Amino acid sequence: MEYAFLAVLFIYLTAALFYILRLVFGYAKFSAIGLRCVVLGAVVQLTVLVIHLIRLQGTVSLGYLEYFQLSSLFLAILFIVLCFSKRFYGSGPFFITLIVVFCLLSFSLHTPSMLSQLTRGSGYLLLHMVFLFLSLVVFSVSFVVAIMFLLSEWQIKQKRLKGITARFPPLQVLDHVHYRSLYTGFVLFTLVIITGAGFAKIKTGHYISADLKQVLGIVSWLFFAALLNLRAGKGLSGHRGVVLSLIGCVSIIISFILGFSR
Amino acid sequence: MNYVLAGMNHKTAPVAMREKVAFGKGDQSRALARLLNTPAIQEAVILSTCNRVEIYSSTKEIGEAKKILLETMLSGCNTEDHHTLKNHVYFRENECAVLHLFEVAASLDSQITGENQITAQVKEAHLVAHQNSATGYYLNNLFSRALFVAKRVKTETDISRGNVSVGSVGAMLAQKIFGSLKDKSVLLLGAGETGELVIRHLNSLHPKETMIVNRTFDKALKLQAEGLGTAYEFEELGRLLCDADVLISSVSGVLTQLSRDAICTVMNERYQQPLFIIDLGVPRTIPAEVSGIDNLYLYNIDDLHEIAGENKAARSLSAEEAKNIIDQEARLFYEKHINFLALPAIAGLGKKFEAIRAHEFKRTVSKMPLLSHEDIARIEKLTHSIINKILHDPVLSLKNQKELSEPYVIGIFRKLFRLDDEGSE
Repeated sequence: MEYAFLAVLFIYLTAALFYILRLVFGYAKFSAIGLRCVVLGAVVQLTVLVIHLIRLQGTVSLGYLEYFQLSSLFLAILFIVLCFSKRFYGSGPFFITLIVVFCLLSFSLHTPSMLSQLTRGSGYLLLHMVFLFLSLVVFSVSFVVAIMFLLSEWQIKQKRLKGITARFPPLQVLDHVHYRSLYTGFVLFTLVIITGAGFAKIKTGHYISADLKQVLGIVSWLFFAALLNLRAGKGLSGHRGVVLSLIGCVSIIISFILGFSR
Repeated sequence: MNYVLAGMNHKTAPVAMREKVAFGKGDQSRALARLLNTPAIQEAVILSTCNRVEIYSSTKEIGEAKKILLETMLSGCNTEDHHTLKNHVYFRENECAVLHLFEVAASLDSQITGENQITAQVKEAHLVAHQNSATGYYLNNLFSRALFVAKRVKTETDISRGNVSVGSVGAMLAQKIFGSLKDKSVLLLGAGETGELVIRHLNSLHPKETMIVNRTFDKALKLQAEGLGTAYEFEELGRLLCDADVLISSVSGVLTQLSRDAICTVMNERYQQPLFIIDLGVPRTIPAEVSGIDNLYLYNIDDLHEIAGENKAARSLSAEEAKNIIDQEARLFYEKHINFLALPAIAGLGKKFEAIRAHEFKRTVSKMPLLSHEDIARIEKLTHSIINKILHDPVLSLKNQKELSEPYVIGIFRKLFRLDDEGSE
């Protein structure tokens, strides 16, 4: 089955190649081919994953391979939807890099045997893991779009409307997508914390401990809650809001890494 | 069949002259009917835009056609102007005419290289002629190819990329910041000419509302009467600034409502919603340090000119690339055209020789009653073979040698063998 996942990675890498060609030569047809490759990759990946999950049923629980493959598939689908609904063609190089990174992580990260055993025994942990990866994907989208916003805004302020950013969607569309993904990510992250606390209660008898990962997670959650409230109430949008959200995203990514490194 | 065109454009004549020879829609139908009534013109298309008036035709008599095209062009002018106007008219024939139309359709001959309007105008001119039954095989072929070439040029080069006028650059920037303007308000401050130009471009993006403010309220009302937006009193400027998403400032000098502090207050009142300001005033009305405010994007007239200039330069580079495509396409089209012209001549020649052979064969055989069927068949085969051998070289030359396929050579050829004479075959 690993060969099938490798084939998916190869398709995404081909898409990345076409997006690089688009950047170098500037022909729109390259990004059109790149997008077709992403669509093909997503279809193949979905098929392979379905077959893989059917085979796994009842034998072992889900590991990093499955979670990261699902995450990259979810990201590819999000990218395709954004391309067709918001004309996000110029964001291809950013999204495809993330998709490839998730695919590579699915091969390189070894699933701890403890996780497999625990997941089998606890519905809380399974939900926790699913929400965790979904929020990871959504926050990644928010992170990528925030970077795109800052680059695009910088070029508009500097009055240089050339290069890759000239093909980005309008600033307000980027701002809109960024905050939507942030809201969605925040909801998912809330579910991650609730299911995580439920699992901790079963395992240790306490909802929360002094674990750095947990503390950082709760601090990030409070940070995002404040940020989203300020946006709604005081209009914290645009440059300042995006920079603050990037700080929040980085703290969440650190807490994820801490989680994976255990 | 030859292609001939007569025309006058922005390069050869000033607007005062061009407007004298311009054709309205009704005039076009009349002129086309008049052209088709003359024996020298087989097909015609009239292209009349603000930058050019051109009549394209297919004809067998180039000289006569030129005369008629010129007469038609000048038909709407006073006779005393004819002499002056004649000096500004140009003619193109055959390959040059094809090349010219391809350049016009691909917007290489336009005042603003790469503009998109001309392609639509060429299409419209062809359609009007077609509806008036003024086009046939030759001009239909030529115009469809011209539109195909225009599309190819626009797809394969960057000739139409980037905005080259101040107004369109302003509109492009607004789109780059807001995307759609359908839920945005535009405020025009001042009634200057450039401001009006920018607002016209922005209005083409259908904003939710366009507000016009001027120190002299009457001038604002005048712009309102032209359908550019809604006029407001100057005193309302502070309130309108909070509502507007795009501000076009077309006034000069200092305004307290547009100082840095005032704009900071406005930004707070509008909950930091993005504000795009175009300052067209000289000296500038909006202080430059305002551009440092979050969510505020400030451009002045020089910035717009600079972007337009860069795009113009980029288009000039693409124009060379486009010219190569057009040259290649025009050459190919004309080669196919002249090959097509040679075909009826070749067929006519074959038919004529065959008729002579059959007639002579029949006459000779009827005088030799003792010949067996085998001998008659052998003689017939011999005559066929002789005719084929005689025709082989000229037919091959007509098909393959470009200079022999030129319309005038074909014309001489047809006259030489009297291919057009009735009953000659």
